[in-house]
Amino acid sequence: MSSFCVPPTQLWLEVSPEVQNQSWQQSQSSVSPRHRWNAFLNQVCLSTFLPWLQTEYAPEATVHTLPITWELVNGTAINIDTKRLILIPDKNLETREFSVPQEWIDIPQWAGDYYLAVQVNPDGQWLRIWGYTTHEQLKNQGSYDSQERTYSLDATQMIEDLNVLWVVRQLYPEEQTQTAIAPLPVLSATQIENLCQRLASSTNPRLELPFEMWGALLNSQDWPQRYIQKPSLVNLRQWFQNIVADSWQTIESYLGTQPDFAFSFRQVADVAEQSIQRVKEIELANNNQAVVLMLTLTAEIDGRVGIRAQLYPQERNVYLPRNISLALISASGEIVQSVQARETDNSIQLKRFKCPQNTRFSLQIVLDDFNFIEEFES
Amino acid sequence: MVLQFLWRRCIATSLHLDSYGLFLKVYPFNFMRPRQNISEIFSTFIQFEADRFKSWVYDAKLRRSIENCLLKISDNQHSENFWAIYWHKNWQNQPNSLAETHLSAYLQETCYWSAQRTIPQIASVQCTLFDCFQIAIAEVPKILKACDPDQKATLKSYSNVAFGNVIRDALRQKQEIDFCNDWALLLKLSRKRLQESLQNAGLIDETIGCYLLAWKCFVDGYILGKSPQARKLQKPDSETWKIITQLYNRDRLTQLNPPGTEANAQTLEKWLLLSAKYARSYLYPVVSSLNAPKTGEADSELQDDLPDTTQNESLLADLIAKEEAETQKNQQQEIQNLLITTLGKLPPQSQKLLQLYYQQGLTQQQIAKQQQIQQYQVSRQLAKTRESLLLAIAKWSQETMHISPTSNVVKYISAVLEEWLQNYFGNLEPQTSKEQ
Repeated sequence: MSSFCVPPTQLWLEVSPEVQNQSWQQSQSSVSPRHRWNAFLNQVCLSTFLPWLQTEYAPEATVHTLPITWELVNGTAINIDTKRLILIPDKNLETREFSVPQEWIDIPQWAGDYYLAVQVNPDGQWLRIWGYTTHEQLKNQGSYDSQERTYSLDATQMIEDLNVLWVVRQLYPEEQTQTAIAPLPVLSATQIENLCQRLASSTNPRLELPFEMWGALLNSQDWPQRYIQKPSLVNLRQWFQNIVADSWQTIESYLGTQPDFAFSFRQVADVAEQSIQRVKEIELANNNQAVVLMLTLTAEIDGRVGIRAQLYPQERNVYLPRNISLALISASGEIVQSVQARETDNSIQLKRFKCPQNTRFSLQIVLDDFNFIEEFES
Repeated sequence: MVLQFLWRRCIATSLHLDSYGLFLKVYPFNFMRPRQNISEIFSTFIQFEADRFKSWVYDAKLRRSIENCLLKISDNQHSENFWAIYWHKNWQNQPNSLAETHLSAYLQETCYWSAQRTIPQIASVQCTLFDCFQIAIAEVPKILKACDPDQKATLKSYSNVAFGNVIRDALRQKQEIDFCNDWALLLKLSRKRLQESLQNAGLIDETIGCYLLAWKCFVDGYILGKSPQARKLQKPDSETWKIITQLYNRDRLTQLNPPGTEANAQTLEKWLLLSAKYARSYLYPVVSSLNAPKTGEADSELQDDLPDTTQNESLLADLIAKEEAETQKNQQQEIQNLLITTLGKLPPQSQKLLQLYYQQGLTQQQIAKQQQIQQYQVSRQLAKTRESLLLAIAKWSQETMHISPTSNVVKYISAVLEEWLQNYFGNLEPQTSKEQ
């Protein structure tokens, strides 16, 4: 409906129901409502705009942000060769002003070249890119709000014709778009530790510290991870060295405690190549049922790791709960593939995939409001 | 300035034709007498009658001001654009209401035709020409700030696009408000705007505090809702109401002063629906009347308004010297030819779409229906076509005038292109409808 008044200078994109659902489910791992809104709107935006951009203008475009930052700061970065686009989604009805969080302007490693203003319908059904601007313009002409820590530009100052960006990309890709950014201090380990403690109880850590400290903290290697208390990374290379983390068991030791499981499992047990199998039992909340996630790893000749991920019911003679889904999520937060159980499925599995060394990915299991996610490194 | 010339030619020949031709089908005939001279152009305002142009009305103070200026220079052959640049630069040196009102007078037609052209694009929304005109003309100070007079588009071209955008945006917003239910509206509001709406409705601070907290809990509760089914923009289900109520009764103790009484879902629902109602009426595009000529003002105020006059005189002399140097009339024709050639090389389907959109003023939805294709295909093809024209001019100015096509430069070229498209296709309007 709202697409009727979009002129050919703006971009209006419909969001597929799959993207709406996946974005909603992914956002569920965030605790606070503010973070959930961020995660939902940014995911809708990214999963819709990036494929469009790759098809229409820049096949080489890739996402830059870790979804982790959505917990803290609104916005998503996309790299196109040497330039960076920053998408700032907003569900607000009014689009006469464009506000960009300071982090995207004043942290040198975060700063972008082009900033795109995106209006997203609150249910995630459509989005509209109504204009763009540059780092330089935001910094030099934007008004800075010290309470919200944003730079804002009036719509009349924006470039409301998105075609301008594609023309500039073709004729003048080396355009100077950034103005100088002051460097941020480098924090010592002790400082990081102290600041972490200070922020631990904060509901909005973004505005808690002086900006320089906050920016420096965001820049530090592992802090954002720690903040949202993600379970530690599962290192798959260690599996090849026979190191086993607590929650993951070898198939043998698991069968020792759960002999029943062998029944459901035997159908695929004839794995020919040299491979490593590990399993993890996952309790589904409110369902009195458990499922077993099984990973089968194979060392490939080219140094990559081949991975098969399968999900089984833990009990014999029980089907998987209907609609339970298993998804592979890239480090950038994109859902690479996902599979969902039907009425009478004994198991579901993702298409086998291969990872180069040191690649991060996550596996997510979702059933209604139950949400399990674990991150791996190959 | 090349592009300024392009624009000038277009405007001289086509402004009236374009606009009558385009809108005869929608509006009854209305005639706008072109203003005759510099003095009139910079000191008269449109008077409306029955939502149409009635006449030009002088503002006495502005008239004296511009006539004083005209006396200062011996050569009176300078174009309106020369004076537009003069007042714009004057305003840039030191923002003042005199320069602003001169330019507001100058931009009257541009604003009028922008409103006239944009309203039918969003036909589902009822808004008078007068209201749209007022919404747009109120943007003049922002446009003066945003537009760079040294760039390759005149203030008029720039305003033409800016007025169109602001009107389209106001109508889009109104359309969204009209079509969405109260719950969706509440999700699309900013806290600031809701607060203004509640204040505007005359509620006392304590009530406003409660309503704002209820609103925040609703927005939070919505995203905390358990299943994707809850994501529909409608009244929360009972489980979500539970969350909202819990949030409210927890947060009122810390965030409200006094914390008020415990609220149940029914109370919160009542408050939220009232908030939506107040916001709806508040967000209805607000019309302020900057345009009204100021009459009966004392002469002395003119003096107050005028910035340092020596500075103005040097600015004037400077502009006179520059414009001579910048006059390269042959380039104007080159761009026109370039655009016409580029247009001719486009696939027939693309030309057809441009014609339907710019000449017949059809909406993308109407075009989709007529051409029996999907609306997204219409918008994609229109965007691609427009982009190829933009690319052609930007490339031309890069190659022949050695201007680096930065985002800012191409932004102004886009404004020139938009105006050219409107005027070019306006001129192609079949003879019959012009003469009706």
